[in-house]
Amino acid sequence: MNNLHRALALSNMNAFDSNSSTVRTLALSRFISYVRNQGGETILDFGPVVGGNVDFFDQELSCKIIVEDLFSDLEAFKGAEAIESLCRHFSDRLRCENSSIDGILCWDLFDYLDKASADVLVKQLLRALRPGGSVFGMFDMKKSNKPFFTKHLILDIDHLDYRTYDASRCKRSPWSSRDVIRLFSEFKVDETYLLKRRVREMLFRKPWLA
Amino acid sequence: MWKREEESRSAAKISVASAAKPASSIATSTGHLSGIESRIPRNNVVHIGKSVVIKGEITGSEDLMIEGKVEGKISLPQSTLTVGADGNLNAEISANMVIVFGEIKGNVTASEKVDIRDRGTVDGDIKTKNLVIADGAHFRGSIDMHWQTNTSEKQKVKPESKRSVVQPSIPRLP
Repeated sequence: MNNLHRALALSNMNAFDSNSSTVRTLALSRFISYVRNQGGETILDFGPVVGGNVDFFDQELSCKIIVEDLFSDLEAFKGAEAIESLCRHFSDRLRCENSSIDGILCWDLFDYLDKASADVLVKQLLRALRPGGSVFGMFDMKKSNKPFFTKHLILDIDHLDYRTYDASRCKRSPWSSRDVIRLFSEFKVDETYLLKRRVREMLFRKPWLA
Repeated sequence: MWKREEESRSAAKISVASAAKPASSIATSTGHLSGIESRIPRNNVVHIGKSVVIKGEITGSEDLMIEGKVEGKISLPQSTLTVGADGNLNAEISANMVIVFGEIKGNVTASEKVDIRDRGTVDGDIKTKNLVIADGAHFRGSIDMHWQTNTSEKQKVKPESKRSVVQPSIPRLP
């Protein structure tokens, strides 16, 4: 019976793979388990709100969810002074108190940020997270000239569905592994998964003695 | 039988006018509601029209439909608040159920449910037992769906693992 169950589940996953907008995720389950072990009281989502994701985290973690759609913030900063103003914006954007968050979902936000504003944001993540808290991020390894943002919908612990929507920004040129590690130098890089669709999913944790 | 029901309806409509007590004068329109009307219960609904601006506190026990602007505080502990597509609220809201087609800036507490429909916007913290957010809705703030339960209850409720709940459903064999 177990074998049959496994086979059916596998065929279901293959069916997922054949659908272009449904993708596998390897880091999400780890993120959830880290947050749960952490005591999981509050998570912060930088993506646009998705009702299904709220339900999912409520079921999985029974926690408070803070939605800070930073993608919509990005739309407000264009032009020559965008980098400087975005840095200023990020430096006081997060309303949460110090060390009050157990997990942060960044999705692919860093793909749209220049190094300076990414640095400022990472400092804010460090401030907001509890020691041991996790950050879930995705880094695209492909270049793209199309301006769009992506809404990630969690189908289950191993699968995401994504929908793109129009935006004024394109993804910047891909972050190299070295640059990402430097960017998160004050974090522990806990897991890195290189997926078939040429996306790196990464989990970072705030050290206990930060 | 039918007549009696209609009589009670009209009586309720009259009492409704006293439900809201704003600082400024209110013109509650009993005219036609917009297209949203069909999606909300018709009985005992106070309708605040598009041109109405209220600054102050609204309390009551009837359902309320707001298409205008409200600034202040809304308290409908046993009723449903519907914010119409043109509704714009800058208020602390407390109700049994809140349905949002328009825009809310402020914290929302609903003992039963918050339902943010397509193009509905909430910028504030939500405390409720049930939350529905449609695709196309906009929300920024925190969501607390366990605000009534104390910490010890939360520990009991928290599942060890709900992995099985969210696993993909197994397709039927042909």
